[in-house]
Amino acid sequence: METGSSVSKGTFAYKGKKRSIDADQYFKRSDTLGTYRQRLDVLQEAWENIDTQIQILRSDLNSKIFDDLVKFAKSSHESFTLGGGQIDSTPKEIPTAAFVTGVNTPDHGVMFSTLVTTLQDKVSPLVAILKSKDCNSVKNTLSKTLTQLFQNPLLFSEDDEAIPGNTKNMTCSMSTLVSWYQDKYNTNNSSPKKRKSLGGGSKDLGQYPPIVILFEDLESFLPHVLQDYISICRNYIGEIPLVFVFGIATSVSAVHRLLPNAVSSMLCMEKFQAPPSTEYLNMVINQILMTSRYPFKLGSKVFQLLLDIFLYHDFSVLNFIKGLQFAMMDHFFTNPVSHLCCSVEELEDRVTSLKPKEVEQVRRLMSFRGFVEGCPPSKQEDMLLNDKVTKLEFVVLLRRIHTYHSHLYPVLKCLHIMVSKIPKHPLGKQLREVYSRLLKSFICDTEDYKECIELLRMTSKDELMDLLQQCRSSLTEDLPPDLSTLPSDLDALLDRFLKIDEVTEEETPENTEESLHLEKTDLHTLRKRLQEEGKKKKKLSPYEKLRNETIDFFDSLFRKYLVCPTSLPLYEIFYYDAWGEIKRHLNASPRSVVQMALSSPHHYLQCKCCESEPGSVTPSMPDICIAYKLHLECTQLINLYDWLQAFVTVVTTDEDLDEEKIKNPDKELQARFIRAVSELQFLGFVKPTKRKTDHVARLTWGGC
Amino acid sequence: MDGSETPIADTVSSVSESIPCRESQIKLLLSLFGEKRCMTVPAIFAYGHTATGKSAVINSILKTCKLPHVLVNCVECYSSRFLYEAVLNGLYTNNGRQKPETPVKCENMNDFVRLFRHTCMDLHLQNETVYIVIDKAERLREMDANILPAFLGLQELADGNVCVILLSEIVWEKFRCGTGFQEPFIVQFPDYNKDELLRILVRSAPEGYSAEFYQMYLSLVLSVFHIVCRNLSELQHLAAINFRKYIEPIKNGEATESDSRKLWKNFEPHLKKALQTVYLREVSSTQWERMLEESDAGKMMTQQGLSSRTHVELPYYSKYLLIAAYLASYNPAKSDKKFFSKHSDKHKKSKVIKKQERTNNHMLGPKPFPLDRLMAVFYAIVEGKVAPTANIFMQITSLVSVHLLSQVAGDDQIDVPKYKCLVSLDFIKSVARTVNFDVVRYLYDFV
Repeated sequence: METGSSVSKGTFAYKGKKRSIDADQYFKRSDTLGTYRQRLDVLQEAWENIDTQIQILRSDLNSKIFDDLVKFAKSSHESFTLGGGQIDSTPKEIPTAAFVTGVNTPDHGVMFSTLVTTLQDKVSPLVAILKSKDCNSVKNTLSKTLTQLFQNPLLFSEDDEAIPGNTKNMTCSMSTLVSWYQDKYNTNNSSPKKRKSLGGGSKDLGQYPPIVILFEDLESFLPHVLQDYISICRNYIGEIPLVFVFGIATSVSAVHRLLPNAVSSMLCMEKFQAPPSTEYLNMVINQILMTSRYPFKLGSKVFQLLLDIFLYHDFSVLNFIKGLQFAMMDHFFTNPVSHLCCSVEELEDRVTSLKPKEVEQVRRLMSFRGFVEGCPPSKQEDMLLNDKVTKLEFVVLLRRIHTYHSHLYPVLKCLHIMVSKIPKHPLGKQLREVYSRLLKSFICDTEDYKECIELLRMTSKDELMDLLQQCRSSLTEDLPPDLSTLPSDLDALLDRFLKIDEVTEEETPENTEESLHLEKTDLHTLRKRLQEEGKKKKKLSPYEKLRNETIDFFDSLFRKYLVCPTSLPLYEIFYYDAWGEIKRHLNASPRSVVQMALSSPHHYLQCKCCESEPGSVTPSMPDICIAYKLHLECTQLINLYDWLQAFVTVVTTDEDLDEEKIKNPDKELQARFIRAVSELQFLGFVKPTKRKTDHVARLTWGGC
Repeated sequence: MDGSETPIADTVSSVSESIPCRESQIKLLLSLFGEKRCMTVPAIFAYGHTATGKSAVINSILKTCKLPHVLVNCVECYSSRFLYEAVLNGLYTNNGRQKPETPVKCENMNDFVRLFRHTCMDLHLQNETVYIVIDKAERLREMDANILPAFLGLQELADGNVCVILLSEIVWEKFRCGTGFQEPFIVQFPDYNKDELLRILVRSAPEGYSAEFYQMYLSLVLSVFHIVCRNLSELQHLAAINFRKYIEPIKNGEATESDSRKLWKNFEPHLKKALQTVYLREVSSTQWERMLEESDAGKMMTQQGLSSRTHVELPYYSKYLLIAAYLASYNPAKSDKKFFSKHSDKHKKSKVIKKQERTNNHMLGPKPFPLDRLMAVFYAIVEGKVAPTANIFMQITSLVSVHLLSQVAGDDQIDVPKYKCLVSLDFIKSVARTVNFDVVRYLYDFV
């Protein structure tokens, strides 16, 4: 209290003690079964696994383009020597990599930080990264470059005294950098020990490591700053080996919009195209979601929602992964028995250690109830009352889902290969689309699937063989025992297709003759006759027979394994499908939420008093809601006095309502009204206007 | 010293050996400089386009004659302090002395004049002309108002033998923005003509080929490019990247050096293609070669390369937002009703009036529009129901950040921000094609 005492009557804000949230307490509140510890452990382990896998994928994906960039940065100054600039009279250009990254800007931060570490590892410790928000003047840009280069921890691993103590006092100009670089890498400099430590032992970075400067978001740089910066750098290109990397989100033409020819002619650009983010997304989906390695799965609605956010809104894989992470957290948080969502090995232990309450919880799952109803009555009782029997059943059922997953994905890939070449793509072009359909319903019952099978029955031999070949090569990973014969089956089919040529040759002339004969009739009769022919003639060519056989083979394969996950008992333990929750958090619409709160406050306050039909105004509502509802009835400009009167009419109860009070409301009512209006102004519904005195302007349109 | 003893003619020939076609300027400058101890004009203003040899001539004269001088590029001097310190410190380093222990600090012009005099004494330069070369001198106009007049009259102010040489790409008339100028001596560096360009370019002939052969090649290159490009450095770049293609038949053994017709036949279509990318410099020479190899395989490649230059992949709603922004930018707000309301039969009426006073909106450029209108157009054209989620508004911001839109007024969402669409008609057409939206049908200029 002592610190707050003051002459003035102002309000003082106290910085409270930083309270760290106690996870135990937080979880216990919503934890009815006491399984949160287990669930948290499972979540953390599962997420760690997935996260490492994602990082591997990311480095795999970018490895090629990074290799190219590294090669470029390395080779651009191979022949550099100190003082070489004087010999070559013609001014050199600055080697520049135009790195087209795509519009998924949220992903770029991670991408560039990996690029920086890659460059530091393989090319040169001297890497600076510039972001437009730090570079609003040439001075800032230069000082940002210099501080990053000078304070590089890689350079001063051993001899700490070399760190230039205060970069603030040094003049920020390129010549400072030149003299620093020459001091450091001069061959005549008699400190081989120092040089050795720079190389970091095994790494051979050449005698003169280039200075790489990255521009993360080139488009947002101020043009004149960038132009000046480039011209300055060009003046010193003979003395220090500079390499630029431009991160461009849109297309290379952005460079020309920013730089006039006089500056762009100082650059020697080479274009590098980063792989599109959809490719990365496909990798994530294929390797994280569509694999039996990770038991956690997304349900159809959530999967579709995350995909939509990606495709319709931002192209950002990072956001997709964040969404996935959120889905996992919410799954393990809300589902009290989700700790059963683990690998097969741990399954049995976990089920046997279930407490009676937890068993009861599992029994309550909708899919399990459906399953029990399908059982013979004698078994039903055991299932509902005998925990031991139920637990055994759980193990069986959960195992079944695991095996289902292990069968599902290889077969799904086959299906995708088979249908991906069909015109118009009834089941979708991408694997993820096929997968999304599978999650939704039993895919083999859909019209589109039937259409696909029909169309497959008409494919030519070459195409079909190509498809088979692709299916065969997709089945490389270790298959579950049930599917282990699949590759050899496919091989056998392929073999038969190869041999079929010898058999068919005899029969082909016959067919052509007949079709020639048919040509003379008109189209309608031709079709009719052909249909009749088709019905009558049961005898098909050997190829057609084999084709039918093949398609039937695949059809039965698909029907057997491509079951919809929601039809399996206990699927809720693995599949997360709280669509509303995800939508609320990841694709929020603040405007509609605010409007909802204002027009029907009971939705959030959950009080009885405010519950009313939409559109009606009751005095029990909060002031701001009343003001909001009244303002909806007004036109573009609102007279404040009229508004106040209407407000008073609503707020005051019927008994003490009289003319005088409405005309001259007391101060408290006025204050309440003004507060409500300024709150509305803060929320962006009204704003003061100068067009008419005592009026405010409405900023939204439409009624309630 | 020996620099001043050599007769002017000798210096002229030695300098112009490295920089051909600039004899008259070199002669003029040398006669202006005169003997070392003679007073020189207080200021020389040399101007000419880029790559006309301004800096090269002056630098090489100063170097050959071993005159005390300092070079400063104004681009680097983002404050006047930097300019002063660069001149003073440069005087030490450029004249073979060790840098002073502590770099000279200089805050204003007054200090500069004092320190300059002191430095000259220190370096024993009182009896010689000191040259201060200021490159990109047009920048001086944007600095403190006293800098330009003070530099022009530095000889008087410093009371010493100093000559300030200003280099610029623009004419002296544009410098007259204040008062108190001493007119400098003006030297113009005119553009090179075609023959001169040829003479200069031929000097960089690659090894292993005769000068005549390379001259032949250059005259071919010039015949194609001289119409569009006279910039020496650009031509140098073009000549360098295209030479490999020219000599390809010789390397393959299909032609000899004298077989110029055959070489030309092989080369001409290639040059035409190269003409499309003059000035762009989007490819380094190695990548250009790679591109050529690919284009030989499929002739369409370069054409595709050009259109893909501006192609940008966007999320689905961003495409619609961009189209909506384009429509809002180029259609008058009055016409929105006609295009987007479902029941309007005012077609005839509006047509009659607008026939007369119709100016092409595409000629006038994009107009700013408020956020409300953008959203209204967006909801009118987008397929299906779209909730006004935060992600939609985020996309507008990201479109601004990649400079497809620009925000022109209003800093926050509450204060009705206004935007402009920055993309071209061709770009929006290609975007609209990917979502099967006929954008031309909704454009006021095309109905």
